Amino acid sequence: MSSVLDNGSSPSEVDSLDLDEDSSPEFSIVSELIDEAIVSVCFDIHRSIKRGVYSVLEQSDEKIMKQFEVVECDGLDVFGQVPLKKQVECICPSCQRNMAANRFAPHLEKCLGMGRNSSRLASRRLATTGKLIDGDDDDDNYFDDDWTWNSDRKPGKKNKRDRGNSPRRAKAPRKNGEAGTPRPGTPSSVHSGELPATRTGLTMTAFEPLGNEEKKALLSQTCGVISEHTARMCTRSHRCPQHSDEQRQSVRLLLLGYAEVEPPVGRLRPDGSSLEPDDVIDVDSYEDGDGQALRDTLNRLSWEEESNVSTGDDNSPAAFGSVPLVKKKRKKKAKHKRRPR
Amino acid sequence: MVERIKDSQLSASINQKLVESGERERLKELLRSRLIECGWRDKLRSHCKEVIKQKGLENVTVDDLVAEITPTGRALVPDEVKRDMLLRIRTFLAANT
Amino acid sequence: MCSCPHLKDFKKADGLKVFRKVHAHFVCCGSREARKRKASLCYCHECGTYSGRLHSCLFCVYFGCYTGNRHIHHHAQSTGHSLALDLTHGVVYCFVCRDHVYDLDLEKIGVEQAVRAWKTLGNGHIKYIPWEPSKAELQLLKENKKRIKLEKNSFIGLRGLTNLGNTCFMNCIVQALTHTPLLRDYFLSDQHVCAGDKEQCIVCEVASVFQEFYSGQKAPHTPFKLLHLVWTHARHLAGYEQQDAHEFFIAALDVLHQYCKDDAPNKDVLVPNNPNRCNCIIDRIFTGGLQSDVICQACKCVSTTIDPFWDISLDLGNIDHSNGRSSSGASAASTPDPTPPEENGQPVPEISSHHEESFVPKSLVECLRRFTRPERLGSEAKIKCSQCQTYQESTKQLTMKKLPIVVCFHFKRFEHSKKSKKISTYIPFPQQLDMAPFMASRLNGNGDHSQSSLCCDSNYTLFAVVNHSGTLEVGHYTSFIRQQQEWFKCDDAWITKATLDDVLQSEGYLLFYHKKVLEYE
Repeated sequence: MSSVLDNGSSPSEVDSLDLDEDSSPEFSIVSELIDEAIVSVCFDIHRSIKRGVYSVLEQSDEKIMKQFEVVECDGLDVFGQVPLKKQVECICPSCQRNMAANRFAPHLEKCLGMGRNSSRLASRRLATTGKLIDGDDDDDNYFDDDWTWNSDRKPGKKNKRDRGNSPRRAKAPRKNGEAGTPRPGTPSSVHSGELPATRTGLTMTAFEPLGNEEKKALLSQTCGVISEHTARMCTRSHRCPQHSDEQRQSVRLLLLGYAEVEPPVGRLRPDGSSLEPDDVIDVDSYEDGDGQALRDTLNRLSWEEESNVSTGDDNSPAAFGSVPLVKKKRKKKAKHKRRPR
Repeated sequence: MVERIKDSQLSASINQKLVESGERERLKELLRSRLIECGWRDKLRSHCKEVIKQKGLENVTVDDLVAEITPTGRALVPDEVKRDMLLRIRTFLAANT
Repeated sequence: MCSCPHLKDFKKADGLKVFRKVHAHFVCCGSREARKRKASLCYCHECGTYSGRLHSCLFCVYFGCYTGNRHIHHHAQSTGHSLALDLTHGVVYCFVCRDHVYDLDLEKIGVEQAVRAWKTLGNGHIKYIPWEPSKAELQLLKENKKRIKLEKNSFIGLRGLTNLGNTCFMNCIVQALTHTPLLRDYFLSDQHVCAGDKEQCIVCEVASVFQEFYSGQKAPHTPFKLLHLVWTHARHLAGYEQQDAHEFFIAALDVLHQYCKDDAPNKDVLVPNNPNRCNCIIDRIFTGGLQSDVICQACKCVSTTIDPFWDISLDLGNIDHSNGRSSSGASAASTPDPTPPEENGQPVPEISSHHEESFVPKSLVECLRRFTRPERLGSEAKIKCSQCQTYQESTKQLTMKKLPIVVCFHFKRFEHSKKSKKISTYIPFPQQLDMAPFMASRLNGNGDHSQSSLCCDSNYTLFAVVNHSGTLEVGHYTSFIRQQQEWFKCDDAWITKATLDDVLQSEGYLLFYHKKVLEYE
């Protein structure tokens, strides 16, 4: 039982005793005890041979064990695998619905109708906003580490969901060479080009340099609401169920100066999905840009909007971008927020 | 020569005390668990397995094993464990004379 | 099962009685008198040695050395007495077959007497008897040839965990728990007996997670069922936003404790030992006893209480609230402090001495020292002294009364006083930890120091570390776990090899230490 414990190499408290010189009668007793222990080991093994246990238990099949050897290689995990690309699926034990594993926790929370979510969500949003204002740009890794990319979002599946809560579910692509902490031992080459550029929205850094006409064209095709977590614009159609018309209006108000949402005429594919603008623009090449300030502002904007929608917070659109107000709110909320401890 | 006989008589009488008091059993048990804990037993067992491979499963006797692994077994006991045992014996003797 | 015809004949001729007698008198003594007799009689009848693997002839109770002068061999040869009993190991040797013989009936007697003898020695714990497969189990094992083992340098026991959407707080704790040796032994040896609906039983689910981990599979495990059961059983935990790993750990223990109480063996035996007064696997592994001594400053009367604990939360130094600084210089990069960052990497010197309570711990041991030092409760917190019956100022001191098998240290990295922030101070922690200095017996001065230095009971080895990267609001949890003397980093689905240095240089949020020496209970 205790053989699982490790060998300790801590210095003994009694190391003043010199063993080499020791020929004392006490030491001969120690030697006898050790010899007894050796004989015990032999008896144990001999007995297990005689009882037929040894051949069954001890003769380990080295060929079998070989295939379980730990792999130590950059870019591979101990199993010798590259990071998993395939999306794992699971079935909610509560409603039996099938879904991507990385969406399970948010789903379950709703499905069980529990959680201290709404107030926490609100407070976190405010707190996070405050943090970004402080100019701490070390936090990209949050977006990368905790959120996993959901590659197979099918519009058909999604329509059933409650739209009120959905914005916060937007996921950032995981580890696709973005700024942030790369996994140790995982060279970025393993990742580059792995994730599909399709369905990946533009970041503000990528959007900003576009001409006015391009901007308009883009927004006439897509929803455009900026995600809380990915800081990317939603690439779905104007009928995207994840975002509200109010959100679409706000984002246009900010980016174009007017808030006309054009109907997606003639832009639909036969299957009803929207045309993907990503086919035209390579989003990933813009990712490491330095438009942090703009991005922050836009992040804040989209969060403020979302809190309007999902938590019923009384932020008026007039408060967009108003730093002092955000700070004040954060302080107020921080008192209720005791987690993580 | 005389010294040696004296020594062996001395350890015989210490042994007697240890057996009588039951302390020897306790020390044995303690040593057993410490040797397991430090991986000694596992190392020794794998050494035994090598011996068994050479001699053949059916033919190996306890005496064969003992003869083969005793040197390794003695050498592999950590000094820390030996010192601890020694100290315990001395502490016991000091308290029981 | 016994292959030796000579022993068979011996048994037929009432040999068991002889064996029992010799065994009880000279192998495992059940009484003080027997020990005395053994001590004075166990010598080689020929050369007088007490060592040399003494054997007793089973036909005439002649004692002879087996090694050295080999007097027992000579005896057998000259008398034809073919069986002798090894007085140290209790095994019979047949001089005709030239081999030791293992007989189930004899062994049964031997084990019985060994256990009894151990008890009469007044040892608190039960003598360890190694497991071996029963006949039926042996048959099963023979039929199922393919099996995998926990071996050094094999990844059996390692498994990635899919992130279910911000569930790294759970994944890192699952990694720590699945690599807690005793918990693993418990679950892999099927000791949980489910009384209810297996589908709804969280202990069954944890058992299956252990099976998943030690199955040798490579693909990450997706613990969605576990999350579902944790959330349905600990409703206060439910909620998908940022969670605290420490909070989850405690809640997980609590839920498991609730649901595996019924598995606890011989409920009456151990309960007095355990401060939580429960004998379930969780309490047996994780519950320690914390002694709190409140000393009245007027009459010096001590009032002592002992409370169970599952973890020890350690202060990481006081933040100087006047300027909101973290008091140590280690990476302040990720603190979400609204004030401008400190001079980069510059250690801020110790907080000025006029702040009475300020300190900066430099190691885990220092944190523990502080945790166990007497603390003045102050004039605002007067306590009614039970002896002098008046409200008096008092001091309070916490010490370890009973050490758990696994002790979890929690660094309070998340500050919630005036400003909420994360303290990213690096606190060195050792691989080997001796808890003796923080024991109640030691600190209250009534412990015998020379005795306790011999006792390795308080020695611990690190086996898992949970780390948090990021800030108070947002971050990521990873863990380091030890398996077969090797360290591995677990980052959700991504498991890689790590070095001891990687572990010891990490920031540390939760530290899991395991007792080095276990007593068999």
